[in-house]
Amino acid sequence: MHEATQFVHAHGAELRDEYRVTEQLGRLSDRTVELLKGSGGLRLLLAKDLGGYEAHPQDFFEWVMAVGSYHPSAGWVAGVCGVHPFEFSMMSPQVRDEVYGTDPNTLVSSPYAPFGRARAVEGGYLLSGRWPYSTGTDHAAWVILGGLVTDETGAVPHHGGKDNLHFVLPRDAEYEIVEDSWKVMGLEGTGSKDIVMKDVFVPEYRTVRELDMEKGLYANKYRPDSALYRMGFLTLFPGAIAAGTFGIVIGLLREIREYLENRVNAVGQAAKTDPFTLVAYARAEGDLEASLRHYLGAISDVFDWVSAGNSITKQQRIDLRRNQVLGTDRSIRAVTDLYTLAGSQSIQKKHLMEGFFRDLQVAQSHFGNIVNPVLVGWGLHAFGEEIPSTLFY
Amino acid sequence: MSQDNGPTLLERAQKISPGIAERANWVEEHRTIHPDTMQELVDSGLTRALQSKVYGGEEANPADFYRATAEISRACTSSGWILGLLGVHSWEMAHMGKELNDEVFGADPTTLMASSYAPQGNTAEKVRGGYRLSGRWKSSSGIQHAGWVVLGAMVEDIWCVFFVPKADIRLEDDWFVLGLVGTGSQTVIIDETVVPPHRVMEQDILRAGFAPGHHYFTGALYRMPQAYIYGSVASAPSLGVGRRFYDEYKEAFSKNTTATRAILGDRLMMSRLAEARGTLDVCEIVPTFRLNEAYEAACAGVELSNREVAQGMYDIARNGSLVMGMASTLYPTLRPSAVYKVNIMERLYRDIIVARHHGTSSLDERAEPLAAAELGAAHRHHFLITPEQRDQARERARAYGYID
Repeated sequence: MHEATQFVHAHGAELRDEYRVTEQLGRLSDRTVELLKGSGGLRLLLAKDLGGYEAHPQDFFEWVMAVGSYHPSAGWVAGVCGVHPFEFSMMSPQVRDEVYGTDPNTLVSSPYAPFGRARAVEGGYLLSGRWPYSTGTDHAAWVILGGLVTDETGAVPHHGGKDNLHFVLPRDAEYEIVEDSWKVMGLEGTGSKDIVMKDVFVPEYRTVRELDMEKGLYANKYRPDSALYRMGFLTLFPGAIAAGTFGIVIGLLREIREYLENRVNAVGQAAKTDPFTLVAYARAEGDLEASLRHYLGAISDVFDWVSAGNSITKQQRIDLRRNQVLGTDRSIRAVTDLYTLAGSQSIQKKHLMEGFFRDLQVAQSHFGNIVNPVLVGWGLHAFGEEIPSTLFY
Repeated sequence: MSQDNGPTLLERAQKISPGIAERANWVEEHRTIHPDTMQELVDSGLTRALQSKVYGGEEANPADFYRATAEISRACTSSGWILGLLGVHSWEMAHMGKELNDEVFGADPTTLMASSYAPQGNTAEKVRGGYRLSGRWKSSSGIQHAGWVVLGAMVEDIWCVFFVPKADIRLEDDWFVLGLVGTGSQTVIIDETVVPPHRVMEQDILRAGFAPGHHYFTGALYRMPQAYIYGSVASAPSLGVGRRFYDEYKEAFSKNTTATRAILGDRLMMSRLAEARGTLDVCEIVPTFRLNEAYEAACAGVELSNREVAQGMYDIARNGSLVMGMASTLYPTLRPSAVYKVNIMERLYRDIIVARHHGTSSLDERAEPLAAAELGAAHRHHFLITPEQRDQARERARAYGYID
């Protein structure tokens, strides 16, 4: 087990307590962020020369899952913000130094989705827009945001619809975090608020072209000898989402199990001898284990492949996506079936499982966990057809 | 069925639904039913659908009440839930003696009654003048709007219910929950009170049909097995909120085609949508059929066998699981913004989950007596009375003087 994950388990009880304050806070507590940074987990995907571990992807996913099992919102932030160092490690040395030069634990928030619009000007861009879902943004010193470049009329050129740029901005840039923009069913603690800005200048060197990153151009240019960065951002990012989701399932299962230990239902049947409960419990544990072995095993196989000096293949990338969405879907269904049998007290807010269950619904709705389009794309590829361009993998 | 050829229960529910729907956010925010909604539910006669005609009720067919409750739930799940819950207690009142009925309905025949039936470890002791009762009862839906509450407790090894006026109880506001937030189902606390015998009833005596109210309240409705009436309390709201979820989903689906759903994904969704529609029809038609069947049998003076009751109970209980299955399949396919609290899908989904958690939605528990009956084996369930229990209940009813 990686030392970052050991640290999380050693502070598990404290993280679990910190979870209780997040619903009112609408963001992570400062102590939770201290623990995330203190664990070193935010450096797992950061390059060694920047003070990172440049670790095995499985170590990163296991760290995210450990955090999420005690504190789903913290786990979600760990996954989303923990994957940013992966991309930053492949950026120009100037950006890397600005962001991590003085503190390798710097927290960066996002999102990447192209909600913004940018106008090219001398030396860079003027960026405008409103981005929802900026996870962890209250604690972030920098932000990385997606956007499309417009022409002189302000319209996105027809061919430019897929040409997403990532823009990097420091917290002291003139953008606003919109308070009260994250009133949701669950994962309240991620504080995934909206970000708004109008015509904020971003120099050219603080941008990344997503298409080039997907092609591995940045990895080849800046990290030619590192296996990790050959894994590809579109492999690591959905993996981080899956790990955040698995973390909640693990925690929810633990909370339900603890509750069932002493539950006696209205007609006097102890849950731990009730065959329906026992079957659902065994299924939940078994399906979770199957999902983790399936997905993490597949990640490790691919990491072995790239560590041997190879490039990741299209087949490997779409296989990983298939295994990832099947894994989260299977484990979510199984734990939901168990929760449904846990009785009418399990819906009470005094039990953590109530919050964890809501968190899981929100996690499930993330773009990265959507199942059928991935399966359709995988199937098309299997029969030699084109994978739809709307699918990321 | 309608009173004096006026509008049916369903038509009256449809008429007040738009206003109730508009107040749904208020209900969620305040964790209780809006006073205007309560007033409309009473004024429209819906809360009195199953009440005895002696006190101005309708003695309606429960199948019609089921449809009306689902309709209100479609507008606001918590309001429909409260209608269903409070509505069935007037059915129970018709099994009680005239003295209690006059106490409850004499001054105000629209008085409402809440409950918490499971004994939850509470016991009562026979003392001079009645039964000494104290304890805590969780999740009493609608208690804020009720004048009385029915509470379950054990007297030695017999499960009894106690009718207690609101003045004799305290409430603890501990209803902080995942969904059905507006039902305000608080904890009832009694420090100590003595309940006179005419306000006490053994569950088995009522279920076996030997309760004293039968001399006064002779409508066929009160010969129906309790399993049908009480088994519908979560089913009707599940149907209603399921219908609303489906309506809103369709709306969202036709408005927003996300990139990920393009072309092939849409075809998968279309089949899910069709499946959901079919599921909702099952939720509407099957319980309606079972309730009609039992009501008609009661009107014809035919007693249903335990196998038939087990089947009716099972079929009515299925709604919770069916609607949960539908929603848990469709919800993740919505755009991620469906998790925002301003999005109605968020509330509907939480309500569906909590309706599924209600005891009367537990299909496994209801499967056992049905399967046992199918196999010709004996199986106990608190809603089913065995011949031995019936004989014992008859003897005890004689001892109480309920029957000759």
